[in-house]
Amino acid sequence: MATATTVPPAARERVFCHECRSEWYRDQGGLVCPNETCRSDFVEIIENNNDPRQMPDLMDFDDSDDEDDHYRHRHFPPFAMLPPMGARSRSPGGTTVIRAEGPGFSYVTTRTTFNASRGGSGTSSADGEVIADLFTTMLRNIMGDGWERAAGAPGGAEQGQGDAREGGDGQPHSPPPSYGSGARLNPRNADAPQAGDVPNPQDITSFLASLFGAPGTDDPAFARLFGVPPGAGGDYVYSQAELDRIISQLMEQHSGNAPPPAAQEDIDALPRVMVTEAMVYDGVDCAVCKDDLVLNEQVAQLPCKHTYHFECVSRWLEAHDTCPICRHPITPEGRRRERRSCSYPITPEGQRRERRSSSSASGPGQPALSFSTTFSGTPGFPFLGLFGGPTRPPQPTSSNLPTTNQDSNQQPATASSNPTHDEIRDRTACPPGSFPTEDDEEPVPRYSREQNHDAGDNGPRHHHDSGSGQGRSAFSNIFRRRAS
Amino acid sequence: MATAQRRITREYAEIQSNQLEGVKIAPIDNDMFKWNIELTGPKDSPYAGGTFKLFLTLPDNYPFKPPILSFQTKIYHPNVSNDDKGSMCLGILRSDAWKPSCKIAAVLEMARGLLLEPNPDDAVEGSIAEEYKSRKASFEKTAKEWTKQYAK
Repeated sequence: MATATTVPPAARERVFCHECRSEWYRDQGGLVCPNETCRSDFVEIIENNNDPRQMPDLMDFDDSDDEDDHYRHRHFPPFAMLPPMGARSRSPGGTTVIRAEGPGFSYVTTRTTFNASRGGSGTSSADGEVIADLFTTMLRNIMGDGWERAAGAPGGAEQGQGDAREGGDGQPHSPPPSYGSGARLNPRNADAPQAGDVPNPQDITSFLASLFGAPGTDDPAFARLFGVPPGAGGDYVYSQAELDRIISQLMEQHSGNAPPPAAQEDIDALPRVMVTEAMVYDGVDCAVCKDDLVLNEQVAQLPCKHTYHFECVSRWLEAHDTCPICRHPITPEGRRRERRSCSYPITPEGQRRERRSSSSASGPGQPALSFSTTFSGTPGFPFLGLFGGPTRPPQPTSSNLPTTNQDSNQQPATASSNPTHDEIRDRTACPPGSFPTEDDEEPVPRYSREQNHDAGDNGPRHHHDSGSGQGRSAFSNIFRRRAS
Repeated sequence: MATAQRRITREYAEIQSNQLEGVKIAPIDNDMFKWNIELTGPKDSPYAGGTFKLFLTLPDNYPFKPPILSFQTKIYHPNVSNDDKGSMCLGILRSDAWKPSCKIAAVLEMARGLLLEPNPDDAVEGSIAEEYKSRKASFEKTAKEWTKQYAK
C-alpha cells in the first residue's frame, strides 16, 4: 500500500466505519466512530485505491445462508482465518489491509477475501495454496513484521505492514510501536498503546518446534523461514564447510574407519606358545601391558607371530581386528573378504552384525541406507565396499603374509601420518603386489560418482583417481582408495 | 583400570629415566591419568624460544584407547585447533590409527616433531595449512609473533 505516495500529507483523510457505515474526517473524529450509538473501532481510512465502501457485503458474517452469494467478502480474525478444508477456494479479490492508528499506536490487520462456493468438493491444489497462504499470513500476524525482516521472505500480498504507521495527520510522530493483528488475541484498548511485546521471531521458532514435536530448524524450509544462520540447522547442512564438519564429527563418533572387531572364535583360537629363553633374552614384552614376558609363561601368538598375554591382546582384538604392533588382522584371509563384502565398516550396525555372525552374507540394506542419507548427493559410492569384494579374483592365502621378526617388534610408532591409505592396506591385508589394481577384470560394474551421472551404461568401468577431481573431500578419497 | 594404571606408571618411570628432548612431564596431583606437559619450541622452527603447555589425558582403558593431547598455550600451527580446546591433530592419536603398542613417549616425540615440521595435509586449521604451503614466510612470521606473545 503506497499510502505515503498516493496521499499527500496535507490531504484530509476520511475514515469509514464498518459497523454503522458512517464516514467522517479523521482529524475531526479520530479513529473511533463518532456515532454515539456505534463507537466502534472497526474503522478504516478511505484511500484512493482502497475504498471500503465498495464492499457492501463486508459485514455479512452470517455464513449459514446465502449459498448463492458467490462473492462473499469477509474479514477473518487472526486465528479464525483458516476456512474449512475444501470448502472455499480463493477469490480473485485477494488481500487488503485494514489499519487503524493513533498518536501512540498503529494497528494493522489483513483482510483476505474468499468466494464462498461451499458444498463443492474444491480442488485440492487450490486449497493447498490457500492454506499455505493463510498459514503465512497467520505467522506474519503472530510475529509482526519482525518476521519478515528475520526471514527475508518475499513480501507477498500483505506488504501493507511496512508502511502501516505512515501518517498523513501531521501529528508529532515519534515512531510508534507497530502491532500485528496478533495483538487482538488480548482484549484491546484502541485508545492506548497495547500491552505486551512484539514476539521475537526466535521465540516463535522454538514455539513452533515444540508445537510440531520436532526441532523446527531441522526443516530447511523452517530454517530459511526463520533466518537460522546459513550453513547449519541441527543436523542439516547447506554448505561444504558444514558438511565437512559433520563428517569429521561422525568419523570421530563412529571411530572413523577404525578396524572392526575380531570374531570371538578367532580370538579363542589363537595359538598359545611358551615363552622361550630366547624371547626373554631379547627382552620381548607384551606390547599391550608392557610387562616383560616371563620364561615358560603361556602367551598368545598372532598370525604375524607377535606374542602377547592372552588377556591383554583379546581385549584389544574384541575392539579391533589388528595386531597391536603391526596391525595385521587375525581373521583368516578368506573370511576377512567375506566380512568386508557384507558390511560397511563405518556404521556401528555393520560392526555389530559382524560380531554376531561372521559367516552369513547378509544384504547391504542397513549400512548402505544409513550412509546414503548422510551423503545424499552421492548415493552410489557407499556401495563401493559392498560390491568391490566378492568379485575380486582369489587372493593368495595367509601363507605369504608378511611375518615380522620378533626382535624388531618395538617398531617406532610412526607410519600413520597418512592413516587412510595404510589403514586400508592393513585391513585388507593384501601382500604387496597382490593388491588388486585398476587393471583387474571387473565383471560387475563398480559404483561411483561417475556412475550416477550417466546411469544406463552398465558395462565394466575403470575409474582413475585423477578423473573426477573437483570438490572431492578427503572422505571420498578413502573410498576411492578402498575401491582401487 | 589396573592394566592402565600399571602401564602408565611404567611409562612414566621410563620417561623420567630417559628424558625426552624438549619435553617435560608432570602428572597432575598424582593422578597418573592427567599429565601436564611442557614442550620447548624446536630450535629450527618458528616456535623456538617458546614454551608450550599441553595437557595429556589418558583414558581409563588406556592403552586400548588413545591419549588425548591438547595445547593450553595458543599456537599458530596447522595441526592445532585455534580455539580454547587447542586439540592437536596427531595421526597416531586418531582412533582408527591408534595401536596399544604406541607409547606416551612416542606420542610426545611426535607432537614435538610436528612443531618442527607441520603436516598441512592433515590439518585442523585449513587456512593456516594453506598459508604454510603457499606463503611460508608469512606463516613463519605469524607463528613467531604468536610464540613471542603467548608462549613465553
